Amino acid sequence: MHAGNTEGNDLPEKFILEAEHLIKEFKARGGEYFKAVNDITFQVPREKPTVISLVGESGSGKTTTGLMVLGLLKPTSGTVKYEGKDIFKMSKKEFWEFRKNVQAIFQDPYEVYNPFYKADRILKITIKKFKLASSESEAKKLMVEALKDVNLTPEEALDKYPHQLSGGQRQRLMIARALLTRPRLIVADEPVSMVDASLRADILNTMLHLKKEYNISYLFITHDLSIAEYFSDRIIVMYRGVNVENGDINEVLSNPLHPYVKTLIESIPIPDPKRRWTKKIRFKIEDLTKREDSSRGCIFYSRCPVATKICSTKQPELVKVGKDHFVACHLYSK
Amino acid sequence: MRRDKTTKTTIQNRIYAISSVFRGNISLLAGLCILIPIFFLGFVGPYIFPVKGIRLASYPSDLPPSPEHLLGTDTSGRDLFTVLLYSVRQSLLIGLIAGTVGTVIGVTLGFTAGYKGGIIDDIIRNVTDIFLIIPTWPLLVILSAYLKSLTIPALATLLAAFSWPGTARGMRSQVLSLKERGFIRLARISGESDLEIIFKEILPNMLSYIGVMFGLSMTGAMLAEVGLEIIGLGPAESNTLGLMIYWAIYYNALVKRMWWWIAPPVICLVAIFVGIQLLNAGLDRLYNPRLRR
Amino acid sequence: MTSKDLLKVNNLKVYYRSPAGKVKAVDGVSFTLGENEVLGIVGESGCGKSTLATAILKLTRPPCYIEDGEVIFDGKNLLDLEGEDLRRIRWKELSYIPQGSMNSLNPVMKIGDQIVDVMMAHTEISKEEAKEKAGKLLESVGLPSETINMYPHELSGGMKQRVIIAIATALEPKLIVADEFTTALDVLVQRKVIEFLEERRASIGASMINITHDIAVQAMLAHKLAVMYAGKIVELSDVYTIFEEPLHPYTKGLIMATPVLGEKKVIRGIPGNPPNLLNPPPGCRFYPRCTIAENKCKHKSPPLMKIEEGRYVACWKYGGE
Repeated sequence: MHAGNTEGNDLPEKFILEAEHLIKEFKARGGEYFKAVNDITFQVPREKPTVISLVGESGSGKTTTGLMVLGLLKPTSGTVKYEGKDIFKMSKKEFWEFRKNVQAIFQDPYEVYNPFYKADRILKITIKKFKLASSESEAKKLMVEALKDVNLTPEEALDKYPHQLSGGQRQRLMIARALLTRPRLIVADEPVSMVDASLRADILNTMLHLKKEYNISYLFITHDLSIAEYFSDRIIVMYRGVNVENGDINEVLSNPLHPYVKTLIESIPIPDPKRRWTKKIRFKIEDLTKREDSSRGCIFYSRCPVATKICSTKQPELVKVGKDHFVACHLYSK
Repeated sequence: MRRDKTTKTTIQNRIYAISSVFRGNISLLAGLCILIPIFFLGFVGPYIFPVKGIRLASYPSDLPPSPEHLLGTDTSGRDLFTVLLYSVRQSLLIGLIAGTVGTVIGVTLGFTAGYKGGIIDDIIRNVTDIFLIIPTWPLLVILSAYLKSLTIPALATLLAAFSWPGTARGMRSQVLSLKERGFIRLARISGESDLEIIFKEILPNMLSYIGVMFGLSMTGAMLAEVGLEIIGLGPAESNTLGLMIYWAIYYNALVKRMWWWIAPPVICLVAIFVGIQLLNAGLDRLYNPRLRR
Repeated sequence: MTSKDLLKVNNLKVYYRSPAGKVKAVDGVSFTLGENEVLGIVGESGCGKSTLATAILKLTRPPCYIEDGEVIFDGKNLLDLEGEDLRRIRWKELSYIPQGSMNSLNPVMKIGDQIVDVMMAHTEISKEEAKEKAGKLLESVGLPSETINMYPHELSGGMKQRVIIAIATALEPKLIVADEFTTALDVLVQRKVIEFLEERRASIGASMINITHDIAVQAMLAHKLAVMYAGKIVELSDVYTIFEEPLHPYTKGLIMATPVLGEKKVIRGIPGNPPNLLNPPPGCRFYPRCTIAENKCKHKSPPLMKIEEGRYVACWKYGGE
């Protein structure tokens, strides 16, 4: 994965999806503009199914990035390309192909169902819209197969209203829907955050199994580093819209460099009392109500425990620090 | 609930299906029980009951109720029961026309504003706000007084013009809140077009809300009409409940203890309002699957 | 630890009345808590932990009601107290941080005023004294003194949560009951808030019941841990022992389901769903999802049994008739 420039020798068809210098600006309550997503670039390779995690806390811009990648939100600047073509400039037919191959799973298993209809309607609509079946019996067969893939029985999932299903069942049904079109990429936005711990692992394992079975890549959006480590091949850490560190998951997590990432790792509670926190963490947690102006200096400056003078005046660029490891911090700039 | 449907005939099945709609839904039942007779009275009544004496001086004045004149006669010599039948129909028509027109405009504009956002939203919102600020009642009075020959359709249109802003405002905020819901995002991912999203995803969730707004528009229009008639404005060429009340007051029906003149129109109006509210509550219960058993 | 139990809960049963019958949300829970001790109650959604919290503080409201049991706090059964007696204990000796409390700060009152309010309502203190104390209180949780004059909407989530901690510990209670007090916070903020709460708690020597579904947070904070499932406590022991050697299959399952950063372990979930608490099955409630279940488990529900001092488990595998 390259930090910035992707032009050069790479043929566009080498990637299923490319996000290039995505920027999204919003108007805050006070009237000023702020960048929720500030120059994010990454690619999903085509050669083998890959899981790329977009990790960040609230306000990091990870969900906004996901929405842009799905074509649900138009970027202020930058492009999202599917098979080399800009998705916001596609013809109707091309966009339909894009939708077919890039699907999504959302966070809230309660919200994604229209309470007016039965839950399995989400399956029926997808089948109809993407012309996946030519008869009702074929459609039913497809649905039952998809349910089997996510460990749901037709009896428990079909013909029910959303409020008659449990949270775990609703989440699984959502995954089944995403599988119907046999997509190349699934954007999963916090798919297990609202699910109980004992069900989480099974859903993640199911998703991993589907990755192998159907060659599906994932863009996995989460705030949970431990789950990201378990699930992904590569990681992109975002802070306030900026990509502060990215690379191969093992390289980054075994040797985190950015002060934010280091602090994040140190702050994760560990299910082992022997490893209790012994000293206080060096980190200022104040003033989240004011969004700092990122054009002047590093986005993490005001809370960084090791910030220096240059950090307040100049924004650091992503530099390569390992085989597949990039960080945006003046400590490592050449 | 017996599950052996095989022993029931299709007719029994049908009856069962229809009755299940009313299960536990007293509001729906009560609402319909009140409204159906009134609508019957207004629209079917004139063709069933012997219509007589709508012209002035058809009968002796101020007669009390009798088998011949179910509600007696008024001071102008008209059979009051006949008058009531026609009045109910006219009033209902005013309410239905004004309600329908107002709701259709309000829903369309409110929906568009909420869903499209941006400049379109700004324009529609400002227009709506202007209309909302205008004091409805004084304007109605002035217009009615000025336009001496105000026909019933014209009145209905005027009333519609004052009821749509409230609906538009309400619809807009409903759409705004629904637009961000997860199932809209999922619908777009699944390939649904904007139009499909509006009609298949958002609209069904708003049916009860639209029903309520329609009920409000309709009753509001009817009430406005009554108000105008009582103070002597509004069309006088057709019989409406409001006009009936007006004449009753004009000819001092209360002083003459002619309760059979003033009570029926008032009772009918109250019944219509209460019936519509009950119906709305019942429909809301029906449309919300979560409230169904 | 048993020398002077601050809190002793005996066979507490808290049910909900519903049109379909009684929902047995908390069905016979017993435990003790000493002074200056943190008891963690961990469990997933629907296990009854929040209901337990409200019952301990006698805050249950219909359709929820206390069917049976005692809550002995400092020698007195709280469930017997009413009105003024109860009010006197609340906040002064017993305080509560409910779920989502940071959103229940009065939006039109300044932070300082809210703290002063609480203090003046429960103690004989002058307004000036209270104001001074409020300032010091906020400092003790790491908030700048200017916070006194700010409104809740001007504060971040982490700041609001610390205000809640300040309010809950303003009168230096003996026991704090906290329900998911870090759930809505980001990781970094969560760590800081846990640090502040622990510091404040230790400085006033209060005991705490910390309720959360996150076993990692419990590992960082609790001294004793109680695992709840379907309305009952299935394992109770000191926190090091539980993680070192979990006994109950549900506890084992929970630990196995949680990934640990840095360890390349495979995580596994627990198949199945929790039972319907309307008509719970006669046997062990974990039976349908248990990998080591025997026939006995299907018919008889195991009580919470003492394995050794301070260590309890409700599972037939560890003995008992």
